[in-house]
Amino acid sequence: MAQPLVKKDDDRDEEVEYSPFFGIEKGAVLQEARVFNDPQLDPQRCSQVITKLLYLLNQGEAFTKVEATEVFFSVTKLFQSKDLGLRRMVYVMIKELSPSADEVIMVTSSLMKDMTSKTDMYRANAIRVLCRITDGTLLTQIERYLKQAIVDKNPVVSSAALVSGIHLLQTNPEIVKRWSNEVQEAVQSRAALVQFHALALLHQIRQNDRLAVNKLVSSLTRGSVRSPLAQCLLIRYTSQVIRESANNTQTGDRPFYDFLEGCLRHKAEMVIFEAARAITELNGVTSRELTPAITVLQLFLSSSKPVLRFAAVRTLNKVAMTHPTAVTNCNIDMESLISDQNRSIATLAITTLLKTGNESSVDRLMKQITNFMSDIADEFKIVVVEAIRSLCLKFPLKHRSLMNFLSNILREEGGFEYKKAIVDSIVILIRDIPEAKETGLLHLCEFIEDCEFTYLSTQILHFLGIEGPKTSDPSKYIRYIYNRVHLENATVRAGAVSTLAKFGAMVDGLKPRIFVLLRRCLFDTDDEVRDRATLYLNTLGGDGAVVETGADVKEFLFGSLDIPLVNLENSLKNYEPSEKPFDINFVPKEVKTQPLAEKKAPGKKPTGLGAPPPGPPSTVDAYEKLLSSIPEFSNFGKLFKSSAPVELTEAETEYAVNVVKHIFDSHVVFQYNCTNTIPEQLLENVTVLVDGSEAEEFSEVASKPLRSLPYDSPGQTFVAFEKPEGVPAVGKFSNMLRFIVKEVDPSTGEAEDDGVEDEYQLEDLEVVAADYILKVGVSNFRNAWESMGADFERVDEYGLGPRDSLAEAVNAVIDLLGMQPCEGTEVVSPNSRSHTCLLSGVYIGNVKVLVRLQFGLDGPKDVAMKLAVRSEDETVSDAIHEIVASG
Amino acid sequence: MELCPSIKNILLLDSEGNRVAVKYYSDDWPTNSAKEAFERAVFTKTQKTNARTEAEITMFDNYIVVYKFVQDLHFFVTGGENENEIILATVLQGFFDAVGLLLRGNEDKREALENLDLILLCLDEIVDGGIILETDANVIAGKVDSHSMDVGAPLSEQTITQALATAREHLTRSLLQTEYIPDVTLMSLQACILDAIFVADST
Repeated sequence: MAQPLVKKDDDRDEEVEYSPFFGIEKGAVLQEARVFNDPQLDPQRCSQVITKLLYLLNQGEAFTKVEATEVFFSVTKLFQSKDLGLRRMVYVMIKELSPSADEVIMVTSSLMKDMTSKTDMYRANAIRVLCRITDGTLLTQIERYLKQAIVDKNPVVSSAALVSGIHLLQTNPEIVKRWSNEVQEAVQSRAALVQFHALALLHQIRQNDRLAVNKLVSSLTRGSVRSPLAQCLLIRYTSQVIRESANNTQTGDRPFYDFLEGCLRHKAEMVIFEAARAITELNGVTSRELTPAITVLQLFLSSSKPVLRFAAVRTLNKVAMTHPTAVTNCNIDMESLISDQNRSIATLAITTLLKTGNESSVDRLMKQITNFMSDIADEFKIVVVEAIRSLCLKFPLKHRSLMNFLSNILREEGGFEYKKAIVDSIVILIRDIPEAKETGLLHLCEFIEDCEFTYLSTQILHFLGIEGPKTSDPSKYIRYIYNRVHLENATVRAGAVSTLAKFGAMVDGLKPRIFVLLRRCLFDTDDEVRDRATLYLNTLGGDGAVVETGADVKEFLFGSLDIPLVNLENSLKNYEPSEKPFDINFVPKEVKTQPLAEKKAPGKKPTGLGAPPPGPPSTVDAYEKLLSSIPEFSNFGKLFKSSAPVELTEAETEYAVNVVKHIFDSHVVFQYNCTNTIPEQLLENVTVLVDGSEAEEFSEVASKPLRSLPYDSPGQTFVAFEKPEGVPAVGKFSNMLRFIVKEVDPSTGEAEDDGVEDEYQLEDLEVVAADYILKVGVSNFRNAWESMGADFERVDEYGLGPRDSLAEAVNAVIDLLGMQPCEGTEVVSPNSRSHTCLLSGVYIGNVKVLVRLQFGLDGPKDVAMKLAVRSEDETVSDAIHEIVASG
Repeated sequence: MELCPSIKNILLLDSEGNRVAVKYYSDDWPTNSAKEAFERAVFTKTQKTNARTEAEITMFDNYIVVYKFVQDLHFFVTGGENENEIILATVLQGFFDAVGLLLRGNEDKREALENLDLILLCLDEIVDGGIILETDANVIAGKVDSHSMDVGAPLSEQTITQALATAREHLTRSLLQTEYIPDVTLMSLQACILDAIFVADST
């Protein structure tokens, strides 16, 4: 290959880089490949042509089926040559061409001959090629040779067979599993990589047999594994065994921990690191177990090799999420990494420091970060911004310096995603830290003065409209907003007009000034801007009279639209111009329950900055609004809880109905969400007949029928019951859907005039005790438990009978009580025999309830439970016990 | 469950990000354009870094990439986000040093392309279907080299052309190494060639 394959370029074209493949062309090379068919083979030349073919493939050139077949057949001729180098290229070429089954037959005999050759290189490579292209049928023929090869004295041959075995295990497991004796022998090999490959294969053969894996690990952890790679494998298998082993940390020492700890003193860095990482990832690792691992990682932090520093800081970063105190020892080393050349390392170091930092180190850290921010890429900056946001929420007292930092970086150069991350962070801080509100809003105002992103400008204007009027001096924001009307594009101008109007509506003192500004907007060049200005001027009384804006007008202008946009869009499309004006009240109000959470403000681009404050409109808010809009239910008082939808029909029936239970203090409202899935039908006057004879404490007081239920357009009907005040009454209700059905002509979509009355049986519905408990979490259960005191504590034990698993029993009790699991205690670690679960909630009548559940396996499957309840009212504590006792 | 360390790809690019030789062991990039997009991304991300004395490392799109540069050659090894970074670096070092040995210290793009067959064989010897085969540069280079030059098989198994090629190889190498060629050397070489021819004929 010394001589150039293609003529060298002319000297005058020195700019073009010289390449032996300059001007190479597929067609020409395929022509050249004919030399493979020569009776007198020239190995050198053939090698060159194969290199050219491989070059083309490597550059992404595709061969057609015909071309590939042609090349493959001529390449098979090259097995005649005894040239080692050429044979080697032939092997690579065959693998690259990945021949089809009938083509494979052509080379099988040649490859099998090579597999039994005396030359080690032939054997090793022929095995790899044959195993790559073969299918199961051929495998049985060569199995004998492969087993021999596994224990071959040449490590290269042995490794080739073992690695091929790992690949073949995916497709032909039953054959490979027969080799385990040979593989077992190879694990003892003195060649490092043979040991590695043998261990990998042996484990994969046995991976479904937990006992065998256990045995493998315990025998090897005692013995000496020579290869670092094999040692890494062994560490991975060991941590898997630890994860799955039944013994938990409570019973003293963890099995195999000593082995992992010993690996921290291995001479190969990859082993040390693998072991340190495995220790940090142990389930429920203790700080005593962590310490030695953290110590070696700390040493890595000051290594001269970037890869070691990166690996260590990345692992410590993960540890900092769960055990921040364990990492604080490394803070000094970590701080010096902020100036690391490798920006990935620097970013990881900073975010780790932000996680482990305490209140006093915040200011110093921010100073360091400021220098650092200017020379990292946007993606890293976003990570830092997010870390700062969580730091600020952790230390609200530090909001001033953190907010300042955010506003400073907001003013610097940056792409959209980065700017959006900063703006989102400021908005979240404003929402969660009241003291930060005014400065935060001013920072945002300054930002929109010079903001190139329309999306961000409109979002901030919307947010200002909500928060601005509530501040002590709303007038100072007006200037920033009105500037938008002069300087920005139409979308932003329209947003600014709406925001101005909001100030006008909310702050009466500002009204006259706002009207002046809005009137100027009437001459805007854009229709939407003018329309908005006109609308607001008329509805807010801009004709000079300064009157207090009525609540209904505010609601009309700025309230959230309680109609899903999809429904409104459909209705508008279906509306045909006529005498009768379009009536928004005829738009079906609800889709399913989920889209409620996604309600949009009118005239706004989708999704606000997260959502309108304070916090996203939870489903409860949406339900509350929906129910209070129905006059019959408006005097029921405050909605206590709405259940998740309960399906009352099987999937794919004619009519799909689910129900949401709304609990009020002395009422219960069932909201039936109905969908008609038959295109040829229109349902009218839809009601649900509820039979409450098995629910003695309930009496029906009102029902609200659904006037019309067209195909595939969901609607609701409601039924309300009265119940004794404050009492968690339970009962069972049977339901019958009643309606008038009208045939619809599918071609015209028109319904016939006459309908037939019909009924449809639904499944029963139960009101259970859990409906009276709100899921409300507490952040620190122990504190809450202690401060609640033992005055109304009730403790009792229950046998839960045989259960599938502990986890199943825990979930059953959580569901029964309908309370919020705290501190992640709903997760039962696998194979444990006991578990403690902490629950918190609010009982009807706004009584706080805390529950501590202790589960234990009693015998092989029987689960026993100790239930301790604390609440502010002893009747409530008793009620919880009753729920469990009757459940 | 992926317990065995695995390599997603090995890339050798030039100083403009063009392929010299690449090998993918994973289906994460099903098409050539996906592969090229990945290479472009890796190249632009690492271009400005100084990875000439020590291997550098970066993380993006949930991949870990370790890399090292020499002259106009850029070496990359990619693994999944949970891979042991040091294992990846060991593979990179093996590849890097093996190429150095095979190109006899003249590591640049031109030399690499002229010896592309060696580079391709080298890739073939380091990783098989994502599983690490060998990481010791001397062993890798030895396996690759023995095929093309120092044919280990007995002389009798070689053809005349092979023997001539071997001789020519020796000649060129000594030409490269010495400034002038004494006549003696030439003569002994000729003798060597004749020997080879003789042996080949007699078998």
